[in-house]
Amino acid sequence: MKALRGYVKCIDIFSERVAHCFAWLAVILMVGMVYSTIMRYVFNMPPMWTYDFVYYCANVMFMMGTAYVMRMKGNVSIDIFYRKFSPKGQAIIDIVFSMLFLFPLLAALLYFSSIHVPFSWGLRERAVESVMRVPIYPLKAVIPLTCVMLALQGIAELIRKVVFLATGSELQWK
Amino acid sequence: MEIGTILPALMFVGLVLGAFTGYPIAFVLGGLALWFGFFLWGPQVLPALFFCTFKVIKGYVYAAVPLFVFMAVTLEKAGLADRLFHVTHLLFGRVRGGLGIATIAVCTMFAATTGIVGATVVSMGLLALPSMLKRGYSRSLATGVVLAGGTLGLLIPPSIAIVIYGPMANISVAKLFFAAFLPGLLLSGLYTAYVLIICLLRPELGPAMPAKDRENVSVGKKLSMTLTGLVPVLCLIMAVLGLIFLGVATPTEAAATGALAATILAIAYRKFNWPMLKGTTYETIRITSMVMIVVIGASMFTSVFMSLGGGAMVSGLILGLPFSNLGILLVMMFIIFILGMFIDYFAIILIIGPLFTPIAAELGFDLIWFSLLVIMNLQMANITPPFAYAIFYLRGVAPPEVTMGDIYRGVIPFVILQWIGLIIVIIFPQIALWIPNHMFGVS
Repeated sequence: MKALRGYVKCIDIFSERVAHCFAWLAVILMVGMVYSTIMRYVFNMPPMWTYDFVYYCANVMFMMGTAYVMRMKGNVSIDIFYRKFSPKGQAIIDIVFSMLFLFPLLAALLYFSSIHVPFSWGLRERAVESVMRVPIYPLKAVIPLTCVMLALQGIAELIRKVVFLATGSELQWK
Repeated sequence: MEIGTILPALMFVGLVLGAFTGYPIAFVLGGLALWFGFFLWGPQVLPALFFCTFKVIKGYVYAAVPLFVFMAVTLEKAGLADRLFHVTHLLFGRVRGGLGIATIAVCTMFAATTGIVGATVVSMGLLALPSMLKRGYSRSLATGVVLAGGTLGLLIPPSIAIVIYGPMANISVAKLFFAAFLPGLLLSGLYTAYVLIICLLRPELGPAMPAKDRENVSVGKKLSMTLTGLVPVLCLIMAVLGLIFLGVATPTEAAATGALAATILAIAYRKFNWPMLKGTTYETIRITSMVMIVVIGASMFTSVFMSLGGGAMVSGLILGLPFSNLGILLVMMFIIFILGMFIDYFAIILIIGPLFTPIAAELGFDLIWFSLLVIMNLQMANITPPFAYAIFYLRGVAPPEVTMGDIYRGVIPFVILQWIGLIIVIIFPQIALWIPNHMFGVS
């Protein structure tokens, strides 16, 4: 039990820290975009990195926040019936559906990433559409990274539900 | 039923059942894509899912989402709604229903600076609602006004809903922004007219401010309040919409400019500090990730659903209806309205956008006009029970004497007004198309 609580605590904090670090990409994105817009229209010297900078910042940011959203139970869901179930029923739904949908999906993405991402790194693959032909393999690596974080957080949520079903009380680490 | 129609039908049923259990919709979408894709393609589903995800995270347009979210959260924390409400309150207070009109006016301005419904509803629920209740407004009218006004943010640009919708339906976000402008004002005008008329007929619903309560404010003070409250908002609107309007910036660039302008405004209002900035960025990543993970799940779902022939099935079903084009359009609108009662509007955009847009193209509709009708319609999704985000937000901040019954009763007239607005835009497509056609040339 102690080990389980330790794991959940570790992962909860980890997901939150990562999200809080990467959240600052929003500020970097804003400053970089404004700079690039000014350079483009006022000085007619658009920086070459703009296009790639934008999707790297914005999308790496949100990917690194997905596990945190799961931890905060902030995912979009239709809870009109869910709210009416007993906490036990809710736990069962969450367990069944994470086994049916979440974990297989993450496993599938991780399995393909394990083949494709090293291949892309080996090639030092670059973006075809970008002016600077920036390296694209780090962006591809973000997908398995996100999946690992979601899986770790998903397991933590699973532990919470199972402990609740087994003992009847919520697992708390605070 | 042949095998070709069974699979997509099953997949759709799976979505409905899965979603209604209350499990996060993004994983239901992705998981169904995995299982059905596996059935269809075998192991080839793995690269398909990977590249669906990769396509989303390599997208340029979606970068406007975190920027607009950042802007909205900053403005909310800067107390902009507070100032706006104070000013409009002074201007409209002496009219019957004046506070209601002031609320709608503020919501409209707020909607033109942010694209998030939650931010407006929470701000106005905290500010305008108690103030209306204190003046003896009926609880239904007061909540209805806040909710209807708040959902304008979904339609009036810059709107996150449009940023998501554009790439999904392959339509220019900038064009949609301009198409949304006049319909947004039309709705705002309809709400104002309704409040004026109902309060004329039944003054007890929204009494005018008694003379003794009117703040004794000098003309100079009024002027300076207008300057510090209204002018920055107009500048903000210009910073975002003006740049796109003049062809100077793409929506993503304008979003960045708007976010920076909002930050400057927060500094000017002396609300800017380290904890505030930290709170804003954390809120930004939370909302952005929440939205974008549904975008990924939905793009997986749609790609498998379309490969199974689901798109053809749905369009076959709808085009096969024994109605005229207008009849089919109304059926589609009605479907979206019904879905909106139960499903979050992001999910509807992401599922319905790719399904309905080809049908609209087939029927020869102008796609900008059609997309705009969908988005107007989705406003209702936010305020039609039982599943309505805006109502949940308002419930969270409303004073305890406001019951769910009050809110439901308050929403009904505004949903009717939204239908009226929708029908007006169906009858007069120029309301939506005039600005984009003049801006970008007739497409």
